[in-house]
Amino acid sequence: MSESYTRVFPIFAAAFAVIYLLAEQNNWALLTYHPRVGDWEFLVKPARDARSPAMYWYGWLVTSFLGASAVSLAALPLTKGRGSLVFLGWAIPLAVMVLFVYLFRGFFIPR
Amino acid sequence: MTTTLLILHGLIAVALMGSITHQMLSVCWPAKRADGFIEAFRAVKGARYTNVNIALYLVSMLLGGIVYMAYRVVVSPYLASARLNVINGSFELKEQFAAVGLGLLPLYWLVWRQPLDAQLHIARIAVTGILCFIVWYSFLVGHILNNVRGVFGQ
Repeated sequence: MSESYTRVFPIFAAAFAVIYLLAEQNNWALLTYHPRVGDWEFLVKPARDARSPAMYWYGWLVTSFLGASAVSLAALPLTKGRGSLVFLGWAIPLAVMVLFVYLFRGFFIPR
Repeated sequence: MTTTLLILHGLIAVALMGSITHQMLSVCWPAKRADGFIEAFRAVKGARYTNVNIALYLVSMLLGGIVYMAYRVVVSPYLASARLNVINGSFELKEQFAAVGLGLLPLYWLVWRQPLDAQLHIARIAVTGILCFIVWYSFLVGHILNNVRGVFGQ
């Protein structure tokens, strides 16, 4: 793998985390899975009925992967000759994880 | 079938947990000589674990992703109806943490690429530490959840 590709790996990690957070919060799923009937659908589709939930997690992963890949490709010429951006690659995902704990606090703190 | 995959998922998670903990300790608390058990645990060449850890993470994620389908149908509604919010929320967090970890894998490979770059020492500790936390957290939550409500019969 050439050096030019690997320098955007920190950007990929940061973008993946941020896009995943946005995808989860806004339900930007590129795929929907209906586990009870075993059907896949493109984009966000509602549950078929009350006993058949719709799953969006796979769709959020696809959205994040494609989004982070696009951001990384766009960043490729911009990062040429720049200093190391490795710090962003772990600090932003770490911040996203902390943010998830905050966003999911309702499960842990009795109302 | 789901039960078999769940057991396989758990076994791979155990291997990954041991492997990434070795690597984490080797970078955070290196030992020059493998005199005792603890020293021997820390005195490994961390870089040699990277590709295996990436492969184990991906396989574990794939198996977890398959078992997750049964979880949504069988386990999740039970947790909600039994108002086991802490357990339910712990799994919801596991789902998000595992996804963030997936995005970290290319960077993880980069910081452990040989020959090791001394300037990336802090990043090596940080990235490995985050992944190690995700693996431990995911394993413990999955284990507790399986004790609360398995997917037997699915």
